[in-house]
Amino acid sequence: MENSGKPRLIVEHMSKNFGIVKAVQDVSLELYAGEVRGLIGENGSGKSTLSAMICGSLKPDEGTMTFDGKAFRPKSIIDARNKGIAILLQERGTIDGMSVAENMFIGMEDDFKGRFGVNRDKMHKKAKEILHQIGADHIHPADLVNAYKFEDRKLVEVGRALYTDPEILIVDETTSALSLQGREYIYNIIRDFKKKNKSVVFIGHDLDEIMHVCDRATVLKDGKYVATISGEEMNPAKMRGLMIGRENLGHYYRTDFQPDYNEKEVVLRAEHLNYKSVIRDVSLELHKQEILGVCGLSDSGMHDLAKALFGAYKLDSGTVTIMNGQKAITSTTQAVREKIAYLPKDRDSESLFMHTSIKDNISVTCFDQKKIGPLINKRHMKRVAGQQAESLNIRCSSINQLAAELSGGNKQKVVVGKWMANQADILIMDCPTRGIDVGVKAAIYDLICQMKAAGKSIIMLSEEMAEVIGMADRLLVIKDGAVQGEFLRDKTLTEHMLVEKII
Amino acid sequence: MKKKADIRQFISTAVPYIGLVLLIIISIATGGKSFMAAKNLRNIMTQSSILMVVAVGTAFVMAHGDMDFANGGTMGLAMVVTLALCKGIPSWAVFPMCLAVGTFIGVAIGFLVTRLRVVAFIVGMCIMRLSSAILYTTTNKKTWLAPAGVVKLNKPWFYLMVCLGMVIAGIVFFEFTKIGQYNKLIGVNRNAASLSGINVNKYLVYSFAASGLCAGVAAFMTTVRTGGLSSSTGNYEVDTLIALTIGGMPLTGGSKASIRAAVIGALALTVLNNILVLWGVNADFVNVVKGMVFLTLVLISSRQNAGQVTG
Ligand SMILES: Nc1ncnc2c1ncn2[C@@H]1O[C@H](COP(=O)(O)OP(=O)(O)OP(=O)(O)O)[C@@H](O)[C@H]1O
Ligand SMILES: [Mg+2]
Repeated sequence: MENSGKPRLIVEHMSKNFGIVKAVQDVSLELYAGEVRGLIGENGSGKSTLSAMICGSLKPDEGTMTFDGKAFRPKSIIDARNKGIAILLQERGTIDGMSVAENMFIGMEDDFKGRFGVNRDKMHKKAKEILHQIGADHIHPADLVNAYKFEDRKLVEVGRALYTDPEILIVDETTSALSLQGREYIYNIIRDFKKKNKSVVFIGHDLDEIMHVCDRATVLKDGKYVATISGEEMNPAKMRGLMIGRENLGHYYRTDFQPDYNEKEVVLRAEHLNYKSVIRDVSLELHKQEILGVCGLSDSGMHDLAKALFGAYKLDSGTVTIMNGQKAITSTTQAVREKIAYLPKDRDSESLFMHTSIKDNISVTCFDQKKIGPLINKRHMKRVAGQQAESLNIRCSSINQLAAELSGGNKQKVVVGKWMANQADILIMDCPTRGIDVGVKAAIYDLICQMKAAGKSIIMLSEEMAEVIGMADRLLVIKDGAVQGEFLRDKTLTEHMLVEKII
Repeated sequence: MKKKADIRQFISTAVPYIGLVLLIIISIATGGKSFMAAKNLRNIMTQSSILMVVAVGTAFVMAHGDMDFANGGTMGLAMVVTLALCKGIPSWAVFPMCLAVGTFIGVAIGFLVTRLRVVAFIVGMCIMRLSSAILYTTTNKKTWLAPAGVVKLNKPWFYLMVCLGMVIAGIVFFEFTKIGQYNKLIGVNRNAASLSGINVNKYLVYSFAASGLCAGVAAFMTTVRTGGLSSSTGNYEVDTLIALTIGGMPLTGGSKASIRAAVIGALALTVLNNILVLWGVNADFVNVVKGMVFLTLVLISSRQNAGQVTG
């Protein structure tokens, strides 16, 4: 790494507290021109908080920043963007009820001044141009942003960040929300930044990705700076060591390489499902104690399939049947009653109650447990929530804290906790480890294995092929809404074999 | 963290109480004898008890974020059906009849909102218009009196008991059954509620039914109070909205919704009304004051939610 020249951005002694939570403590770092810097650490280690301070959305309690030799004190995200630092947020950064173009140019409407206020045509044309550059031609500038899926909304944010042609780009866990293709676009953008001698801060939990994308990586732990590593040192084991204090996590995925489930006992059967044109004649069987992996690109229809299996869609045709009692699943209420759980990919808008306590978020599935006559048992619900928060090790000040205040990974744990509390028998997990740090990831895989051992059945949908190969007994590949292939668990199964079917 | 959050929580729940206490102190200080007169206090109690019962029901609808503009109209229709349509109804049947009509209208609204996807606010407006038109035509040439047995109930203890019963029932259903709790969660995030297995439509219907039922009870209380049908029956839509907002009910519903808001708000609004009248403020101006109070509260509560665009 050529550390020649002066650093472009110097961050010195930054701290940020939320009440007694010391989210960031005395962190300093220097970012050089042409550098792609990884920022890694466990869930809640302060990565997002630090980047929020750099990009102007949070005021630091202490510390100073210098950007290109000048003191840098951004007043807001928009201010920072105008000064040359843009961010791709971890959480949803688009505003519902506004069009794609309006979202893209928020705070910069002046650039499109026409005779009568904003010149929409001009705005839409520019938006179209940018969307084309990032390969998102399927997104239309005039549409409401809510009409689009999570991945597409992220791409709108990418467009917004690029519009101002920033000198420094912060990418906060954006790639985990994108499809393979979307990721490629981001990698291209990063390469482009490097070529132009600009800098990137890249936050993520996928250590292989960090290794490939970044020149150096800075590790945070409990809000404190730990180390900055580069070159040879930047290997997953070393990074894990610095992040969580243990290099070896023992086994990560399953250690057995045989499909191992009860072939005779089908617990859930889907027959000839059709929904609009996103699910095409999909049939599948889930067996007792089986981990059924489903993988495909994010626009393959697999996320819709997950919802359909959970009864969330009014299908055009086909049935989902729970074999124990031969009941057809036609609504989410019934699915939950039959002990099916669903962890959506877009947890913020589909699973979490944001400005509501962690307790209420977890216990939402427990209203029918241990009732006192006709009344709900609040004490029991509180106890269950407390147990889950503890066993999942959710980093919070108390279970009365609002879910909105948690770090991304901890939010995901809340969602997991809510279904654990319901003691579901069949779990449909859509990207269950998205945004979760390696330590917790291992814990979640462990949990999945435990659930399997306890007789539960799991459908695990993921865009990360390694994790599906590592965990599934049987694996379905989805493309264009239809099942393209089926694989049994095998030592020789490689990502390559799947990719052939996926693309 | 905990301390600060708890303090913030405490303040936001305490403000309505403090406001009510202040209002009462000011009223006693400035209204003096005429405020504390037994007759005046009895008046306050009667008025606030009816408003409170309506507001308790409305709280269930507001919990999930809908505006309830149907409560007054429902009251009016319940009274018309009971007193005019079922002319000569025996005294004992008046209460169940009011209750049944109110609940029926509530359920009907629920179906319109959930099945036909009409906005609740619009349905409410229609019911309000419908009720006032029907009331006008029925009371135009004829007077409709309540059975004597019903009018006999017009005693302070009656209002107190009914109101107390409804508030307690309201708290039980709101805090300790799925009806209130689910509606709050639907108010926070309808999508997540549905994907957590909550039968959203069913619980929306329950909330409208609860509101209709309470309006039915309030219709009975009004029958007792006025002894018959009058063209101005109902007219509670705006007052309940203001009362609930004063009591701390967020207009968007969600986890801060409570029955407490109905209780404190109804008391505060009635006392405010009363003291303004005692001060000799004219009736039109009373409405202006109420409007200003409401606007201020709406501004404050929307200010609290600002700045959290990306959550
Ligand atoms: N608005 C807030 N109020 C209270 N606490 C907060 C708030 N925002 C963040 N925190 C806390 O600060 C700590 C750091 O959070 P941050 O979001 O920076 O973590 P992170 O490293 O980005 O984690 P993740 O990998 O899960 O995204 C966490 O313990 C979190 O709960
Ligand atoms: Mg984060």
